[in-house]
Amino acid sequence: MNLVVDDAVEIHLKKDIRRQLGRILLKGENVTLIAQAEV
Amino acid sequence: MCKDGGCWIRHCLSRSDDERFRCLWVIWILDFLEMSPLLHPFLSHAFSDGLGGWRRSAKILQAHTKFGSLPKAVFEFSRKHCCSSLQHHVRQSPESDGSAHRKSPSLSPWTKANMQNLIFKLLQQHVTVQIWLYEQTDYRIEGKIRVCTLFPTFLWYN
Repeated sequence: MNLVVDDAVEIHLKKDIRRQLGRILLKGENVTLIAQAEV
Repeated sequence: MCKDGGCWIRHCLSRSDDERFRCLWVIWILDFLEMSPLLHPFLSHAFSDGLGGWRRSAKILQAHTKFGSLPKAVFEFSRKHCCSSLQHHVRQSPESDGSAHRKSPSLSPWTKANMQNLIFKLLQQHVTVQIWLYEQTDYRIEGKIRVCTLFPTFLWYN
């Protein structure tokens, strides 16, 4: 299940760095879990 | 919500709609394991103890269920509605590593319907979602789902 994600942000959890990626295509095999993001 | 998986799972116990919504995702994941080698990363996320190996993960899952850390409701719910994947794997840990090629039985219609409803909801409402990545525990992707191959006919333009 591939996803096209808008306004994508790559988050490094340990360093707490947010890298803006824009619109991306995420191949389904990379997805472990999808959850609503914390606001 | 999900800085660590344990905390995320605890969320599933609560009663609000939003939390139940997340709970459904857990159930979906549990079901999904049957057709892709995702259990190990999921478990290491879920219990964030860093232990490797399918067998140990299964044991952890078993232990957590026994001692009630994994919400019993979730476990029983998934057992009732999903294709007995969890039960099966917990009872007899496979000889090979969990990531070996497994047969891919179809999801139960109940799970399938829920999965589609949930993803559709995320798609339609342009909810900001966080996506956990396979074997990349340091990184997460956050964004709004625009297109998803589950619903190839739906396209949204601004």
